[in-house]
Amino acid sequence: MSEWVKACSKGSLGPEEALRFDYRGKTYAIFCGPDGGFYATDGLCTHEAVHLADGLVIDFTVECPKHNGIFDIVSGEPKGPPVCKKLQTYPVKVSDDSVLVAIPD
Amino acid sequence: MTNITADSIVIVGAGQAGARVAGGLRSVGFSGDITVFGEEPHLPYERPPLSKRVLCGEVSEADCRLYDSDFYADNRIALRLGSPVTAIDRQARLVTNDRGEVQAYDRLAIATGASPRRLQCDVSDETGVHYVRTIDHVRHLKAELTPGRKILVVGAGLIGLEVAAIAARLGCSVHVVEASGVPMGRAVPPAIGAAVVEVHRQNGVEFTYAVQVVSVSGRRGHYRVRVSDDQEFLCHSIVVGIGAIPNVALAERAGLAVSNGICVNEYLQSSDPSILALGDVCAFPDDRLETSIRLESWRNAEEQAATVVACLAGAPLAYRPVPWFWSDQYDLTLQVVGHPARGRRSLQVEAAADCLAEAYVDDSGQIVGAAALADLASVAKEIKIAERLIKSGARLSDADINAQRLNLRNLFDRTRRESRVANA
Repeated sequence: MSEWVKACSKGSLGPEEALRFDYRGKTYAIFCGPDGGFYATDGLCTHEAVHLADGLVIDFTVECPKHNGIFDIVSGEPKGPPVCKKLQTYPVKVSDDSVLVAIPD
Repeated sequence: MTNITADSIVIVGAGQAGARVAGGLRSVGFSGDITVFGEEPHLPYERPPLSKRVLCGEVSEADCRLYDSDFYADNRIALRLGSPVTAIDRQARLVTNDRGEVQAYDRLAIATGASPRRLQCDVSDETGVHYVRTIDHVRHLKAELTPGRKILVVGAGLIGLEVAAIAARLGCSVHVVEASGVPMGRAVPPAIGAAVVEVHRQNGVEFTYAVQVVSVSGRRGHYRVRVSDDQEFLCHSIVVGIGAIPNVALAERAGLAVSNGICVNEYLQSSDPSILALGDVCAFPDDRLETSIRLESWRNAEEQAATVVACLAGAPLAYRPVPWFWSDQYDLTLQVVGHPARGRRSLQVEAAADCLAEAYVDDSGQIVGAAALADLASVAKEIKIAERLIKSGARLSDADINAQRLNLRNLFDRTRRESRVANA
C-alpha cells in the first residue's frame, strides 16, 4: 500500500527543474520534465549519497551534481557509469495545485 | 553483445581505471578470462576522497571501493592484489609478477598510474614526510593531524590545499610553501585560485610563494625545513604535494613507446596494438595541441576505461574528452571543466549568490572552459551546462561577450533551440 503525499505546489517547479522533498526520514527528488509533467525518484544518487535535486535537468534526464552519473527521471534507469544501479521511482499525480507522490507504507 | 576476439584479457594496475575496465568488460558481455594485477593490497578504490573525506574521517576507506569483494568473484574477475607485474613479454604475450608467476594474455591493458613526485633535497628523517596517494599514505597522515601540530605543506596544488584545509579544520597550524608564484598552477584560473587562497587565509593558513625546499633536517616531530630564500620553518610533519610522475618503467622495459606517459593513439592503443594504456599513465593525443597530454583525474579514469572496453569489444571510439575535475576545501566545492588556459578572455557567469563562476572563450568566441567555486549545487549547475556548451562548440555573440554577466542556462537553451530549428 502507499499513500499520496503532497510534495510541493505545482507552481513551485518549472520545466527542467527539480526539488528536494523529505518525508519520514527519507529524501526524494521531484522533477518537472520539459513536457511540464511531474516525476518522482529517490533523492540520493546511487553512486555517492548526493542530492539529485541539486543536479542538472535536461530533457528527461538528471545529472548528479557530484560526478557525471545520469538518470532517466521517468524510469530511474542509469544512463552509464559511474552509476549502474537504478533509482526507485514513485507514481505522481497533480490534484488542484498540488503535486502528490505515492509513497509506500 | 560483444565480439571480443580474445580469450584472456590482463589488466596491469588495480586502481580506478583498471577495475573499471574489468567491470566494463563484463557489462558488455565478455565471457573470457579477466585477470587484474595490483601493487596495493587493497580492493580497488577511488582516490579523490582520500585527501578529502577519508582524511577528516567523514567516510571510511571501505566507502571508496569501486566494487565490493563479491563483485569480483561473481563476475569471475581474478584479482591479484599485492602482486605487481614486473615484466611483459610481448612476443610470448605473457606477464610476470614479483613472485615469478606467469599469466598469458591476448590483450593487455596497462593502468599503472602515477607516483608522487618526491622532495629533491636531502631529508634527515622520512617518517614524518607524507605523500598523499594511497590508503596507506592517508592512514599515516591522519594520525599526525592533531590539534596544535605544526604542518608544513609543500606545494599549493589541489592535494596540498585539500590537506591544508583539513589540517586547519582539525586545529593544526598550517603553512603552505609553493615553488611557483600562484596556487594550483595552470589547472585553476587565477581569480578562482586567489579566492580559494583567501578562504584558507581566513582559516589561519599561511602561504609563502616562489620558494623551494632546500633541506629538511631534524626528525619527525622536530623538523627544520629550509627554503630557497633562507627562511626556516619548524614543524612536526611535512606534507608533500608537488605533482606525480607516470609509472612507465614496466612499459619502457617492454619496449613500448613512452614519453611522459605511455604513448597511445586516439583509441588508447600503445605502439603494440594488443596493448592499451589508460588512466594517469596514459599520454593520449590532444586534437587541438597536436601533442600528447596526460590527465590525472577521476573522470579521465572513468572515460578512458569505457574507451578501452569499446576498443577491446571491437567498437572503437576515439577518446576526445572534455576534462573535468573537482576539489572540496572547507565547505566549498571547486569545479573546472574544459581547458580554461586555452581561453583568451574570462567572462563572469551569472550564478547563484556567493558563487564565483567564470567562463573562458577563445578568439573565435567559442567557450573552451569554465570554473566555479561555491557550494556543490550552485557550482554543479553552472559547470554541467558549461560542459555541454563546450562539447557542442557553442560560440558567443559579441553581445554575449560584452554583456556584464553571461547566463549559461539561457545560452544553452538558445543554442538548443537553434540546433533544433537547424535540424528540423
